[in-house]
Amino acid sequence: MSVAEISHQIQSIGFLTYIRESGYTYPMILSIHLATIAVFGGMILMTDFRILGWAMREVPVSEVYGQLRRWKQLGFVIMVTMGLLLATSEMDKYYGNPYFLMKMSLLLLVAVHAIVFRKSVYGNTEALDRAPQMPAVAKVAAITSLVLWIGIASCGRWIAYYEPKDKDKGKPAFSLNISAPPAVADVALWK
Amino acid sequence: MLIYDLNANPLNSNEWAFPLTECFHITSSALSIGMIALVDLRLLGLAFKRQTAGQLVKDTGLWTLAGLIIVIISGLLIFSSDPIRYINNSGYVDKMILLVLAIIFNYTIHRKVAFSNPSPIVAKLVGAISLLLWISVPFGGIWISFV
Repeated sequence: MSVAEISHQIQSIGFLTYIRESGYTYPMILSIHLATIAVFGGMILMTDFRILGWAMREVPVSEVYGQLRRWKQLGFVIMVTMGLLLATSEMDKYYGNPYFLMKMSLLLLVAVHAIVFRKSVYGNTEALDRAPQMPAVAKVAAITSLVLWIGIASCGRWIAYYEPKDKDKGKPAFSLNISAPPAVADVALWK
Repeated sequence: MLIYDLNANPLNSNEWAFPLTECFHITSSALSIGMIALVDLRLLGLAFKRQTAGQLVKDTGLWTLAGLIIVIISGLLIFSSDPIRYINNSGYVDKMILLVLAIIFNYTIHRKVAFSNPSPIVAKLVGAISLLLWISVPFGGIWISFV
């Protein structure tokens, strides 16, 4: 089977077809995805800011990290679940979308990031607090995390602006630009 | 009468401008809403129990404000891509009402309660209202494209 066929099989699964064709379920899932990004994405930013010494300096890193860990995990699960529903219900359009593939690759790098810095930074936050100065490795971890997550959010947005060469293959999945030229603008009506 | 040519707006003519503006919009909204959510979690008694809500407001306030400024500027730019359609879009109008309510709430009651020594019930109520208000704003944003 080709990737196109597999993608089509995936999006043909009953509840995914329902999501795609329903009037309100799709935007509802999209809204939850975005609201989760806002609430929990902000917590990721805060953890990085704390390590970089940009915010919450009076609160120890171990405290910020420890308090936010569970919430970030919860947010991550909601975000990924909603994201998977969005992507798989439109798999025909997503599988060949370079921004989608880039987003997935960056998410993979987030996993690599977590493994790489686990011992020296995230599993070691009390030592970071004891250090006279924030170790460089922790700052590198924080900056990398910022770049990765902003990249992921940006690629997510750009998914909607990719137009396949073959028009029949699909229209942009979703766009907020309600006034742009037809290729982008009719998406709002197209749902 | 002044005629506004939509095509003269770079957001409509440059293929990178609109999505890039949206990226700033989304990232900065995550910044400010995330910071407010920290305070809300504290008010709800769900995190940072060793800090006071007031201390968290002080620690996050500057980032919240910076995020809000970028969100509003990028939002106005997006709005400028087709003002008349946005004004006539019920999703947009709802979003603006919710946003104004959320901002007013944040800088009045939310702030006041965070800096006072609120009873747990008041704190929880204010935290919940704040969280709901801020979550409803991105919902409104998505709804713009679906109404």
